[in-house]
Amino acid sequence: MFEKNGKFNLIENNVTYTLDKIVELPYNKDLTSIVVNCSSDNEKLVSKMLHALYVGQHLDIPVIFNRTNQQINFHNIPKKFSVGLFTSGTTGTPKLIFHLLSDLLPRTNQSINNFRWLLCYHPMSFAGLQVILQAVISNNVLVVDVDANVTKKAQLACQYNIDAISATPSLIRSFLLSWTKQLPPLKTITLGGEIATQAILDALKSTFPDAKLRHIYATTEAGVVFTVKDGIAGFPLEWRNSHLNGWELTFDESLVLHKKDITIKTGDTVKIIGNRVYFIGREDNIVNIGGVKVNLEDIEQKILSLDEVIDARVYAKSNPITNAIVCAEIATHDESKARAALATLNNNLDNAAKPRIVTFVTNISLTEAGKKLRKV
Amino acid sequence: MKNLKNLIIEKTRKIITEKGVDCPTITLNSEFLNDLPMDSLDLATLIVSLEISTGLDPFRDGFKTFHTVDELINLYTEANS
Repeated sequence: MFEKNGKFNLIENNVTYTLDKIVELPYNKDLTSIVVNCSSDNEKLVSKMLHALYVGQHLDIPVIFNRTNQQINFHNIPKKFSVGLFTSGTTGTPKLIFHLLSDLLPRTNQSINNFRWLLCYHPMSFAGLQVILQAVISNNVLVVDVDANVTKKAQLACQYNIDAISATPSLIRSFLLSWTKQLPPLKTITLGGEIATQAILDALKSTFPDAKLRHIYATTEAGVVFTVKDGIAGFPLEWRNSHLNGWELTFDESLVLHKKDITIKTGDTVKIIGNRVYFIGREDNIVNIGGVKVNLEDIEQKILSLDEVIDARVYAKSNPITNAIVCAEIATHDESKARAALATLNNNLDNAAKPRIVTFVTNISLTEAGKKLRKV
Repeated sequence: MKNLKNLIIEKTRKIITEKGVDCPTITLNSEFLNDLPMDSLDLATLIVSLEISTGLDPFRDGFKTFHTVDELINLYTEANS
């Protein structure tokens, strides 16, 4: 993977690194595994990750990218070179899953294109690592600023004439709202991580009429399952029961993946209209908010644990920018105390999980079936 | 219905000040994500909050691009007409 004298260039926080410069850094030859942690300062994070991959491959030892600084049980890790990534933990404790390098590499070699990529995903996510490796093996340019906010990333795309981007629909929508005076010369756009609606696909087609537009379906456990290239939301019904990237697709109300003895119930609900299958949401209480999966019941439990709160309903309200935002209805005898307790709780919640619109009520509203309505 | 311009500026200011940051002067030409201390979640909160207050949803037919306060006012004015 690490081609000597290759043309890959990493521009991380405005500093340019060649691959030769990254791999020549010294390392301890007695290592049995390598762990790269995230910190408050991620200025050289991707350079460190690439160095770790080089050393891991060279010494044939596992490399673990620990995005959320989880405890690692070193007795249960592979002995040979593979890449460990943690799942997001939305549906439970984050799980460490090891991938062979070949599973992370792109299936098509695009080295004939001199793309300039902007890293939009976190580098220690499956999708982020795929973008990094795609750029490395294709001898492309990769622009990175891990800690940059959306506006800064949108500026970087213009500043560095980015022509290849892989991001969530929510992030792309924010980019479209940020690019006012100038557009980057995008030639390839890949959407993933949440539902690609026809509206965002159409907005991209009209803004970048010459760009190749595709949307992918992937999970951390299965990797990329399929890629849709026809610019239409959802995927063709004829893919039912067929094998895509080794996975057989079956679905009734939600998508299930099968490979040999492995069955993955994705929890992603689907609806068939004509010859097309559309994703419509989740069968659990997980909502995608700006590309981040948020568990509404988890947040509700945290709010219910506050002394001042009698009852609470946490729900998602849809919007065209981040797909949804978290809202809460709270029953309390003392609104000012409940507000203060909620403010303290908010400090410990991920930005996407913070209830944005809070109403204080006497009684929580329920559905006719007596359940709490989760999505509006 | 309350003046849309005042409503949008007032709600934008509220979202910014609730974050605990100083709110700069909001003009019709202010770009939400470039000139104001707002991120996409703040902007999404503004849209939902306006829908609750006005009952209007200019995005019902899909995503529409806007950048400035004036452009957003126009979207709500069209939805109200």
